[in-house]
Amino acid sequence: MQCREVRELLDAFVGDQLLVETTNDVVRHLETCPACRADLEGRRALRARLQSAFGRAVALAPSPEFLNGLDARLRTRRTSQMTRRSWLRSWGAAAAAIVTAVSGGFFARGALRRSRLAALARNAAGDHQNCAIKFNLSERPIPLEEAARRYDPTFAAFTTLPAPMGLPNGAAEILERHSCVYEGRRFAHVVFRYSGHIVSLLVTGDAESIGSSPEMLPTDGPLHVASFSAGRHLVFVVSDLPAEDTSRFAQAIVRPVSQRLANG
Amino acid sequence: MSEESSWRAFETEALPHVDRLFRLAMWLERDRAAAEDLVQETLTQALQSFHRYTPGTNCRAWLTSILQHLRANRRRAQNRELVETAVIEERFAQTLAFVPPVPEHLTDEDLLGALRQIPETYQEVILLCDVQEMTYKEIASSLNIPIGTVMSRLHRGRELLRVALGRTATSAARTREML
Repeated sequence: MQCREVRELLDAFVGDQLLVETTNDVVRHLETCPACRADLEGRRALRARLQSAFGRAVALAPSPEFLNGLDARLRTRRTSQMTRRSWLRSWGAAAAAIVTAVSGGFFARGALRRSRLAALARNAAGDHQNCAIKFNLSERPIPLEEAARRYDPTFAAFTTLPAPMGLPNGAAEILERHSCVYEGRRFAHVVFRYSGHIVSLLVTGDAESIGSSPEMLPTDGPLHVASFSAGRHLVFVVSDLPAEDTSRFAQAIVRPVSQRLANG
Repeated sequence: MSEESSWRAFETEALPHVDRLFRLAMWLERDRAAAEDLVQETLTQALQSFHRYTPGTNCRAWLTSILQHLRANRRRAQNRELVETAVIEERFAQTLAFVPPVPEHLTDEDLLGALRQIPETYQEVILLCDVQEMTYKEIASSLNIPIGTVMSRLHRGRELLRVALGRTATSAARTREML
C-alpha cells in the first residue's frame, strides 16, 4: 500500500470500520512509515479532543430543570396516550399519573444518577480500551505509589491486590498495575488476563454510589462493565468477556477491593 | 412485557444516553428550547416503539436515528433543507490543496468553534461518527444516505476541519502577539 491510499483509509482505521484484511494492510504499512504513523496519531488526537470538548462543553449540557422532570413527563405523556386508546383503561392511567406525581422527585433524581453512572461506565470502558488494549492514552500511566503520593492515598493499597480466587474458568493472572487518566478522570488500574481475555479493574474516587454488590451497567459497544462502591470510591470491572463472566469476576474481587478501600 | 417492566427496560437502556443525545440536539438546533423539545419528542417516540428495539444492540445509535428523523421531518415542514452538498464541495475544493496537521495548544472552545466553521452536512457526520461513535452503517441509516456518501463526507469534513483549525490557531497566535 502507498501512503496516499493509507491516508485515505486512516479515518476508517481509527474508527475500527475497515475489513480485517484491509486493517492488516494498513498496520503493515504503518510499521514501516513514520510519516503515516504521525498522521494517524494526529487523527486519533483530534477525535479524542473532539469527544472530550463536546462532552465538557457547559453550553451544550442539559439543564437540571430539564432532566429533573424528564421521567415524570415521559410517563405522563405515555399514560395520556394510553388513555386516548381506551376509556376503560382510564382508571389505570389515572392511578399511574398519581403514582408518577408522587414519585416524580424520586425518578428525577434516579435519571440524573443513572445518566452520571452511565457516563462513568463509558469512561471506564474507554480507559480499558485505550490503556489496556490499545496503549493509546494521551498521558503516560504512572506507578500506583506515585499516584498515591500525589493524588489518592488509597491507590497504594492496589500495589498488593492479589488476583481473585475461585473463578469458574481457571486462574486470573495480573499483567500490570498503574494509575492512568482517561478524559480527565484518574483511575487505579490493575490489568488481568483471564480465560484468554484482558480484564481491567478500575478504581476512581467519586461521591456517586451504586451499592456494595456488583451491578452491570449499560454500555454501547461490545464491552461489559460491572460496578460497585467501596468507601468513597467507585470500582469498575471491564472486559469483552460475556456479561455473566464479567459479573462473576467482579463478585470474586469485591471482598479484597472493599477491604482495601474501607477507610478511603 | 408489562407496562411497568417495559418502562424499567427503557429506563435502564435509553435514559443513560440523555446527556449525549441532548448535547447533539443542542449543537444541531443552537437553541435550548428547541433542543429540549426535540429530545423529549425523541424519547417519547422511542418509548412508544421500544418493543422494536433489540436489547443488546446500540441503543444510543437507535435513539440518535429517531432524533435525526424527527429533525429532518421538522426541517422539511419548515422548508429549511440543508444546502446541497455538491455546491459546498465545489466551494471548498480550492481550500483543500494543503491540509495542515492539527495545531497543538487549542482550547475546547477553539476546537468547537472550528467545527462550527465547516458546513453543517459535514459537522453532522463528524459528530455522529466521532462523538456519538456510530458505525458508518448506522450513520447511513440515520441520515438516509448511502454508506459511500457517509465515507466521502467524513473524509472531506475532517479535511475541512483541519483547515479551519489551522486558521483558528493562526488567529489565536496573532491575538497573543498583539497582547
